[in-house]
Amino acid sequence: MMEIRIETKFFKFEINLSKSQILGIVGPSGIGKTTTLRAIAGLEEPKGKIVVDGEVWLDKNLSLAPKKRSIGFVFQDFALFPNMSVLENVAYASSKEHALEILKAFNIEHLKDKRPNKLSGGERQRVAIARAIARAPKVLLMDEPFSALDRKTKHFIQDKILEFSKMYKFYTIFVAHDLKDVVRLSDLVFSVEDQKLLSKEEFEEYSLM
Amino acid sequence: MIDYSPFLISFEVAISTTLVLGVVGIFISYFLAFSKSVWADIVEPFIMSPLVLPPTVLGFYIMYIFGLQSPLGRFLNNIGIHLLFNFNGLLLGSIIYSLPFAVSPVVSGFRSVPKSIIEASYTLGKSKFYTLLKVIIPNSKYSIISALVLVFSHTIGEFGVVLMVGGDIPGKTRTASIAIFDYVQELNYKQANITALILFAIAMSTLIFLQILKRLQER
Repeated sequence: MMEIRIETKFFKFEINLSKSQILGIVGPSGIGKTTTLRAIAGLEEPKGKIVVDGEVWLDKNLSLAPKKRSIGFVFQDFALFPNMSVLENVAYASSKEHALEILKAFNIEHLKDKRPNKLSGGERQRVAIARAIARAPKVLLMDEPFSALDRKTKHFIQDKILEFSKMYKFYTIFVAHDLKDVVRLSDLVFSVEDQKLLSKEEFEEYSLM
Repeated sequence: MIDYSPFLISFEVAISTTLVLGVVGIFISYFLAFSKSVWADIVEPFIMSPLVLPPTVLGFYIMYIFGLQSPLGRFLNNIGIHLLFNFNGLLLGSIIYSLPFAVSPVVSGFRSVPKSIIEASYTLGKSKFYTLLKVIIPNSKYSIISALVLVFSHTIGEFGVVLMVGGDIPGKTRTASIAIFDYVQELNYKQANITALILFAIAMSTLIFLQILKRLQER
């Protein structure tokens, strides 16, 4: 179980997630969606409480450093290490053998020796997702993870995320603008604007309104 | 006949200073670039002060602080550490005088590393030290090389501080730049010219190297 009760400058975020559950966060720009992900990662210090599988990451007296939280973070600008090849990026927090398996799974094994500056936006995004998953985190956080992908690749990557989330049993929280992505991937949706937590079905109806 | 000893001393001081500042400069730069502490704002002007202070002012204070007049100087003398008018003095003076050249380019380099890749390393479970070694330093390598080249060439040509702290002892603390001054005093313009030309060539090579480095960085 993942329990999050945090208060950012813009809104209160309270939610409980079960293993392998995927939460999409939607809302207008500048409302603090990225800040929420950063707070869960420990890159910001909000007030509140975060407990993941019984391990306290944040409470009144404690705030674990990001390196001590088992997370995979997909940054909006991908944040790939320019001095490393794709394989070295993905193996940064795992082994080379495991990184190769992940690259194969994401269909980007052929890029393994390339540097990030030689990749297209979509390729970089796939590498960033592969790197975050490669360390088998407890929580996968993704900030606009599909923005640079075409429809077909997007669906392929979303299916892979679903597959790995079941395999590694990690909690996934992501931010997206495209409501179709949110509907396709999420089990639950948090609408920041309305401060509402919705099931996938409720959100489908809600987004049609 | 050229007297090589001033060049050997200059090179020895320059290489030692570059090695010391190559390590120390990285950690000071990291502190100045990323610390949110008020200490960073207090320490930075002191580190950069050799850029604006006359070398004789700096030399005088180093002499005063490490000389027998001060408690620190007397303490060091009592435990057998002598820092004035010997090679150690030259090294100490050069390290302090060249510190801004070791720090300033590296601080700029560190600050230009995208914040997100540093944070990505933390979120991938790595410590600040590991991130410095694997992410920040490799992505600031041109700034670090520039700093080392600047420190080396600046130390080779240093005059005021090394004269005051090291003295002008032939074969021991007389560096190439001090030797030029001595040759001119002796009206030995030929030797002064040869020594000056060699220092000029070193300085120009450094600047050309930095120019090439700048081009490589822009690619």
